[in-house]
Amino acid sequence: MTDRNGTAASPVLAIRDLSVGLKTRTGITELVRSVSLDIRPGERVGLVGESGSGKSLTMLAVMGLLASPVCVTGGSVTLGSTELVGAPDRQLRALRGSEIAMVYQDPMTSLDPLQRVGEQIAEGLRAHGTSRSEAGERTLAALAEVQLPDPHRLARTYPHELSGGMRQRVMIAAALAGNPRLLLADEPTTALDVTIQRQILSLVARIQRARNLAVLWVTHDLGVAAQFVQRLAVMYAGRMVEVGPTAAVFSAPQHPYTAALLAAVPSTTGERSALGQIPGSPPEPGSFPPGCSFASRCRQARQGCTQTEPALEEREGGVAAACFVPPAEWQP
Amino acid sequence: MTVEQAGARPVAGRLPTGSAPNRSRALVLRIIARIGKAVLTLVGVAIIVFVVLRLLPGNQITASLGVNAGLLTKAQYADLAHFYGIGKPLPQQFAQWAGALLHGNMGVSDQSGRTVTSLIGAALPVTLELAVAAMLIGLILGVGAGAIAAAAPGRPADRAARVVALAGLGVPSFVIGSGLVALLAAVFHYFPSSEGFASLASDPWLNIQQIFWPALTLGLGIGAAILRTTRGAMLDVAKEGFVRAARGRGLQPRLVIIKHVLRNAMIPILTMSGIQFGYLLGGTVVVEQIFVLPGLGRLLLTSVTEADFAVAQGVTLVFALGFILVNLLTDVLYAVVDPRLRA
Amino acid sequence: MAQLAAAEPLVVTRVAASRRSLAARLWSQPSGRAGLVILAIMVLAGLASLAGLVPDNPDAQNPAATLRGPSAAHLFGTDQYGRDVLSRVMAGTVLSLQTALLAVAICAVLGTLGGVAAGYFGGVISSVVTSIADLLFAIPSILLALAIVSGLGAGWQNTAIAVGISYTPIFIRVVRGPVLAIRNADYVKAAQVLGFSRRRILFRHVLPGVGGILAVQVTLALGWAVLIEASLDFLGLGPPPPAATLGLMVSDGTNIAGIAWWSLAFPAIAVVLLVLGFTLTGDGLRDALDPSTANS
Repeated sequence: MTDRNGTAASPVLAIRDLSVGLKTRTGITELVRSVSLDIRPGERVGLVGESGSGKSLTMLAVMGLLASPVCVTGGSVTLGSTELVGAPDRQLRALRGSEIAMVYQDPMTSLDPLQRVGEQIAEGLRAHGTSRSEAGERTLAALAEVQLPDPHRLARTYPHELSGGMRQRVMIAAALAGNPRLLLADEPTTALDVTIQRQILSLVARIQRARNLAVLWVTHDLGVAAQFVQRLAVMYAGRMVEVGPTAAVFSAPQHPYTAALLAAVPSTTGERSALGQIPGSPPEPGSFPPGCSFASRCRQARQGCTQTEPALEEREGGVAAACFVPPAEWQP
Repeated sequence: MTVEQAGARPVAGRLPTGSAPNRSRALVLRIIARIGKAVLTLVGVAIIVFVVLRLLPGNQITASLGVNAGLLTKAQYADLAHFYGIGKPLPQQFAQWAGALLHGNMGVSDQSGRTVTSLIGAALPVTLELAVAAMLIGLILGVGAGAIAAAAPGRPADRAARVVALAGLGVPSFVIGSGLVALLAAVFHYFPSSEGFASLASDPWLNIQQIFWPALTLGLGIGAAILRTTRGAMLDVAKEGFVRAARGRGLQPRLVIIKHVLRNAMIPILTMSGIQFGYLLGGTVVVEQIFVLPGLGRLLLTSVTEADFAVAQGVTLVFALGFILVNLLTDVLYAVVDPRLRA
Repeated sequence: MAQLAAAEPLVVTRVAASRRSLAARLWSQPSGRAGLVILAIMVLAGLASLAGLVPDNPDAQNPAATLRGPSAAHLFGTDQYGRDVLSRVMAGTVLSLQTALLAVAICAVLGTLGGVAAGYFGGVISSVVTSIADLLFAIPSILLALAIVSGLGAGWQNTAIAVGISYTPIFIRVVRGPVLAIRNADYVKAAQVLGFSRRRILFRHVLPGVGGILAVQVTLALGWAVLIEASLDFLGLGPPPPAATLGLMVSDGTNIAGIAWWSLAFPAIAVVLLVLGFTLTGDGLRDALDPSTANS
């Protein structure tokens, strides 16, 4: 993504060494550890990881939607030139919905059951100073943009009257109505069945291209990541372990965890064999082992792995990985 | 971007087929079903009360004449028995009473000779005023304090509210009432009840004074229960995804609380209010006694202790009717608040 | 306020499985602890009275020492007949406790039977039971109590029966819900498929699941029973004078409160402590059994 002058455009979102923790009576339990990620204008970035890897928390931290006792414990998040961490709530409110918007995982619970769907979109617009009539107009436009039938009538329905897929489209409409620069999506298709999933993905892709919208898409499904995102970031146990262009990461993963994830995906071609597994399970927050968190499950682990944490380093092909063992030296 | 510019061929899903008139009809049917059930309940209550009162030893004759009942001749006893309807089979007595009831005739008070209808008619406005005032106080205190407590859980305001709520729940209304009366009389030399009861029409200021203290007594108990419910419900709703989503759209906290949190909390609050109203009816018996109010509660107490069955039955029916009506009202309100119930 | 408007994601941190016994967990809750302490005090006082360990005979009148304030000889003072208020309060506590226990025994047994039947068998039985429950619920409890007491005569057992019957519908409702849920739970269906007898399923699967809720409800019911029983005594519908019931003492005490505040205060405090003790313990039990409902 370079601009006309050939220099890289400055990122829409710059996450630098972001850490999120849980305040307990005895101290702070780390949940997200020193995560860094850039998202450039018009780029689709995917954030992949198991449940509990910290991906949702990272997103919520960006929006400033963490609630005590969970909080940001360090690092910075810049939207354009505005620092979000530590910013006063009034400032964050002005940005939410108008500059950054978020779509959540569960369409069932993300809409107020007592309020009409159109009103929920319009109230967000009015909160940013739009007039009532203009908010109405833009709501209808947003509903049409996500290809919902009969926007006038649909705006007056209640959430329970709609199917899961339609509700998710409403959420997307709500997110887009404010014309944000950046869309954060927290596994929005996980709760939907596969055919609807594809429809939503292609819808978002189309809208994203039309608006040149930057998107951060969290998922635990590598297939979705492969289809949809241009760059992929992999998280494990609260840390970023690999980042790079999707094709490069898929074809030549630089971190053993990513490789193991890819190997675990069942294949419809080739011989029938047992599903690839990663033995063991991720460490719990609060009991992260010293050194690399993946070491205990890693087939490539060496002496130094359990002593120092590997830092995210640039490798070839634009991929960065946090591992001491280069792929060339991996054992099968 | 306008609707026209955005429109690609719509793809997704079907709109719900229920049109507005259909939905209203469904709501009306629901209400009718509820009313039917209410009538049945009322009939059931009438039967139970009738039977229970009749099964007790002693009857109207012994109750009104006391020891002198033994002095009656057989013929006199038979005459009185016929007058009171004693001795006929129960179902027949019930039918007699029910029939008269449907004509608006609830019988005559054995003690005072006045018709039950007129006695109830005089007492009903008092209790009604008391009940409404108590519910209002309870709701205002309960929802208000509950919302404040929920807004900052764990902080001093919250702790204070919860302690007060506990006191309101744990201290019986007769203790609060007695304490209030004692306090007002002994310390402030204030006896609003010393003069006869003043109706709202005749002397509004005195009436308000006379109603306020008993209403406060009952309202504290109600408020305590509603406070706990409000606080719990609001905290639960605050954890829901749509609250976060609303914040994510940039809404101010106050707006989020009022439009989303409080509204969704209304349903459990409504439920608790209905329950509290049930206890309220029983509470009027105690409170009207303490504050010397000529209401239905007092009437019930005297009528049962004096075996004035006609009055007792009438008042019980009125209470049961009131309770059933309030339940109906809460059902309707549920449907008003929650569109999911209107389908 | 921002607190309330912000929702946090469910952070899945595995809480160390609580191996502490129920009693220990109850004690660790502030409400449970306070409730248990209060109850312990009241029960001890009641037991002492039963055992005769009272400063004075509660019924012994002493015309020479009427309306004396609290002193070394009479810690809670004396009433208008010269009777020692402390002894009477202790005796009243016993009366309240025994009435409440009998009342709750009645409604717990009846209500559980009804609730289990309605929840487990469903269909007609459920409709009948819930209809009866609704009817009972619609009748003001005071009236039921009035009728029973004025018919059967005044005595603590009759008060207990009246209170017990009034509270039965609540037990039915409270028990029916979980029974219904458990009955439809997969593990019960599995048991049925495996051919277990109905009785076995009922006793080994359904009832244990309801146990916790029952315990909480019994505790709360005890508090409520004390409240209603005291109210009935206050209205003159309980054991007649010279019985030492807390309700009667409050009633008498109100009349002379201006000159003898102790006659009103101490019985009133005793009632409040009893009710609070049960309510707090019930709350603590509820939180100890299901931490997700704890409110802070």
